Amino acid sequence: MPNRQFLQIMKKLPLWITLSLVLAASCLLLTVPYILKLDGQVTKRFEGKRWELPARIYARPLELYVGKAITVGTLEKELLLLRYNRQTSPEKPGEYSIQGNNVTIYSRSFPFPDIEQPATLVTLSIHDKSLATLSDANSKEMVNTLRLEPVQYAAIYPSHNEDRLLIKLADAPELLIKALLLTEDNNFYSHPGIRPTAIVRAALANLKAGKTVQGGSTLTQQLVKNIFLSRERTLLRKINEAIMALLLEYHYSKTEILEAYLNEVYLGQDGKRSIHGFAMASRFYFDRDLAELEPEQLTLLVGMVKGASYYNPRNQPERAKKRRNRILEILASTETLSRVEAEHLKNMPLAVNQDAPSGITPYPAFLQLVRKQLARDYKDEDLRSEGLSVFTTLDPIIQQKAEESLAKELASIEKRRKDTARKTLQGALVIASVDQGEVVAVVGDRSPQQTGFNRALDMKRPIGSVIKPAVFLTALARPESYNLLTTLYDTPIKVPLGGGKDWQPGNYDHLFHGPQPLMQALVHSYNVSTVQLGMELGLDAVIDMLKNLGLQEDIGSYPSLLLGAVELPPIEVLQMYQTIAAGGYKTTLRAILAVTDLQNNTLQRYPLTVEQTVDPSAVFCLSTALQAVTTSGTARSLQHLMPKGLTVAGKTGTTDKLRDSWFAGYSGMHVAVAWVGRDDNKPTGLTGATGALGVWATAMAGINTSRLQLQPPNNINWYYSDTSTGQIFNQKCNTDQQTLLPFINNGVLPEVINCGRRGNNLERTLQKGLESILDFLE
Amino acid sequence: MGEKLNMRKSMDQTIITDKKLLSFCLLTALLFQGCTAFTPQQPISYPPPQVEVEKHPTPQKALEEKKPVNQAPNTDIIASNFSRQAAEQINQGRPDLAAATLERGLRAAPKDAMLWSQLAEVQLQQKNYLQARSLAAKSNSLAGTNTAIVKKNHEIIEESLKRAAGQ
Repeated sequence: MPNRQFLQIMKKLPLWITLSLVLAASCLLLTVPYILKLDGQVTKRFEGKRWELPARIYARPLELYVGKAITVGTLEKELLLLRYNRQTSPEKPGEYSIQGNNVTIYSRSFPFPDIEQPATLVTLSIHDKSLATLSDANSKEMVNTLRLEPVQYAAIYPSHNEDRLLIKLADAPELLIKALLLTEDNNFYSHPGIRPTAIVRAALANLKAGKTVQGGSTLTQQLVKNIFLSRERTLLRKINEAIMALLLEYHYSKTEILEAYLNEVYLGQDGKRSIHGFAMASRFYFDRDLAELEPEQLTLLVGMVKGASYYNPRNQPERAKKRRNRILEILASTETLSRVEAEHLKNMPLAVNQDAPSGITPYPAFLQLVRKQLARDYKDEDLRSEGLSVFTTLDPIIQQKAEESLAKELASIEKRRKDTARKTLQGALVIASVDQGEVVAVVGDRSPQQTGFNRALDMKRPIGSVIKPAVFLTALARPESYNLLTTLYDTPIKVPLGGGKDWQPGNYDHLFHGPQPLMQALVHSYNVSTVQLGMELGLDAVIDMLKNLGLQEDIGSYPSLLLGAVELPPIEVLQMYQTIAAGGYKTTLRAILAVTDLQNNTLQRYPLTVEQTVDPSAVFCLSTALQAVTTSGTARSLQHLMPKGLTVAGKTGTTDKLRDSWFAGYSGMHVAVAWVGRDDNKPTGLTGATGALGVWATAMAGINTSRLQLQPPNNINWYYSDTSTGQIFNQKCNTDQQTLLPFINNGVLPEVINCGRRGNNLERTLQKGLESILDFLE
Repeated sequence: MGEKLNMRKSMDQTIITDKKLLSFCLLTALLFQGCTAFTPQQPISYPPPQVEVEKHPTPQKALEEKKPVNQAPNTDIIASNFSRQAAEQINQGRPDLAAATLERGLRAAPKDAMLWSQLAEVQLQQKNYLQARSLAAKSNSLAGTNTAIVKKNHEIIEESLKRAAGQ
C-alpha cells in the first residue's frame, strides 16, 4: 500500500524534480559506502589507542638521605642531568639553589613503580663529602629519604619517530586552552566540525590570490588532517577532511577532540624525532612540565601551532616573539588578560633553553645492554608503541666517570709513548655493584657516543691471567689439600697435548721461580706454577669452577685455558668477579629493575636473586690473596693510584705478545673490569698493569665507592704467617715479617715454626738443594 | 679409580713430608742444634685483623675510618628506615612492594644483614624457598656477631626446607 501511494505522489511531481530526486538518491547510495569507510577509519583510530608512544628508559634514581656520601658538585651534576634550573630561591618543581654547602631542591613529581612521588621542596647540607641534614623546606621537619626522579637517558621511538607525553584536558592550563581557541578556532564549542562560511570565505580568498592564503580549518579539521590525511592540498583531501571532521564530532565529545588535539599537534623537530603535543613541547623548549609554564611561555607555544619550524624560537627568535606577542594581543583584546599584564608580558624574553634536550641517548653502550635484556621479554613493536617505562640500573654519574677514565687513560698512554699514529688503542670498561649485581656503567668505545661495535658486550678476547683466580679458587675449595701457603712448584713442565705434542708454558719474565707458596704464585701471576696446579686439580674441575662463578659460554677442555686462552667479552668476566667479590654469592648481572605500563602498573619486576655457588670460606681466602695482588703483586702500582685507605682486590691479565691488557677487581661496593687493546688485534706493548689497570684505577678512584672489608666466615682461623716461606708461626712474634692469614677450619695447615726459628735464607737454600738431590736420587 | 688416585696422592704427600723431615733434621744437625728443642708447638689462632684507625684519614673515607666495620653508623640509620618501611609492607601483604623497598635499602647499605634477612623472609612468603634459603645464607655471611639475625636466618632456612619438602 505505501508503495502505491509513493508512486502516485511521484507521478504528480514535475518531471525535473523527479529526475533530481532520483539522481540525488543514487548519489547518496554511491557515497554511503565511501562515508562508511571514512567512518570506520575515524572510529578505529579513536576507539583503540590513539598514539604509539615510545618506551622511556630511566637511570637509577638518586636517593638522598643523611649519611649519603655525596659532594655538592656531584649533586649539582645530577640536577643538571635532570635539567633543573638554578635559581636564587626555588619556587617551582625543577628548580634548585646552592649557597655554599646548603642546597635547596624543588623536586619534580614522578610515578615510581612502587609509589607516585609528589613534588617536594627540601633543603639539605653537605659536609665532608657526606649529606649532613635533610629537611622539608617549609615545615623544617627532618626527611628520611628523598628520591629524585630518575634521569631519562633514552627512549625507544615508534617507527615514525613521533615523541609525545600525553596529558588530560583537565590537566592543561586554562590559559593555554583559552589562547588556543581564541587563536585557532573561536567557535570550537558551537560548530559541528566544520564552518561552511569560513570555508567559502577561504576558498574565495584563495581563488582571488591564485594560491592558498587562508585556511579556514576548525581545530577538528586540523586534527583530522594531522592524524588521517596526507599533506597534499587537493580538493578530494579537503572534502575528506570535512566529512571526517563531521564524523569525528558526531562520534566524540568536544572534550575528547580538544584533548586529542593538545596531544597531537606538531610543535618541533629534533633530528629525526618530531615533537608532538603541548606537554612534550613544554619539556622540549622550557625543561618544565606544562603546568609550570608562565603565561608568556604558554602563548609562545600556542603561536607555534601555526608553523613550528617557521616560528622556531631557537632559530627564529624575532619571528617567534612577534608571533607570541600577537597571541598576547588577542588575549588582551578579548580581555582574557588585562592590557597592563599583556604589555608587560610582551617585553618578557622568550626564555627557551638553548640546548634542546636530545632524543639521542648519551649512553648508547649501556642502552645496548638494556635492549638485549629487554629483547628477552618484550616484542620490539610493544617497546615502540605502548609507552612503557623501563627502570634501569645505570648510574649516570659513574657512567660519565667511566667514559672519561677510558678516554683519558688511553690518550695519556699514547702521549706517554709518543705514538705517532694516534687513537690506535681501544678499550672497554664495565662496572657493577658487588652485592646486587646491578650494572652501573658500560663503556664500549673510547669515544662513548659511538654506537657501533660494543667492546664491553660483543667483543671476545682471550682473558689471560684474569682467569687465574678461578684456578686458585678450585684449589682453595679443597681445604683438605690446599691453603694459601701450600707449596706450588714453578719448575719446567711439559703438558702432553695429544698427537705427540707437548706444551711447555713459560713465565712472563722467562724465569722459573721454584717452590712458591700458593698465594705468591697468584700474587706474582706465575704461569708455570698455575699450570702445575691446574693440571693437578684437573681441567674439568677448573671449568666447573668457572661455571660456578657464572660463566655462560662453553669452554673447551684445553690445558691452555689455565692461562686464559679463553675468549670472553668483558661483561662475562665481570660476572665471574661479581661472584668472587660477593663472597661466593652469585647474582646474575642485571641492567633492568622494573617495567611499567602507561597507567604505571608494574608489568615486570626483575628481583634481586642470589645463589651461593662457591664455598664462601674459599672465596674469602682467595680475596685475601687478590688483595695482596694490589699491595705487593702485579698490581701494586694501585697503591699510588688509589686514594689512601681505599682497599681493593684484583688481578691483572696480559695475553700473548701483549695483545690484550686486562684488569678485573673490586672494592667493597663496586666490581669492575677494564680491557685495553687494538681492534686489529696487533700487539699493544701493554701489560695488564700498564694498560687496563690505569683505566680501572682512574674510574674507581673517581667514583663514590667504599673500601674492601670482608666479613670472615665463621670457619676461618687466623694464623701469623710468613708469606715468603709459606710457614705459620705458633704465636705472634716480635717481628714485622708476620702477616695474619686466613685458614679454613679443619683444613690442612702449613708447616708450623717457632718465633725466632723462622727458616732463614741459608736454611731454605740448603733445604732446596737437598730436595733436588733427593729428587735426583729418586 | 678415584680412590687409587687419592691413595697415590697421599703416598706422594708422605714422601714429600718424609723428604722435608729428612732435610730438616740434616739441616739442624748441620747447625748443631737439637731436633727436640726445635719442635714447634701447636699454632694459636688469632682474632681477625682489625683495620687500624688512620691518624689522618682521607676526607673521602673519613666516615668509614671512624668505625672500621662494615656499616658506618649513618647507613645503619638509613637501613633501619627502609627495614621498618618494608616490615609494614610485609604486614600489609604487599611482598612485592616490600622487596622493592628492601632493594632500595640495600643500595644504600649493601652489607646490612637485616635487610638481606628481610628479603629472605619476603621470598619465603612468596614461596620461593630456594631463594629464601640463599638470601638467608647471604644474610648470615654478613651478620658477624649479630646472633639475633643469625637465629632468624636459621629459622627461615629451616622453614624453607620444611615447606619445600611439604610441596
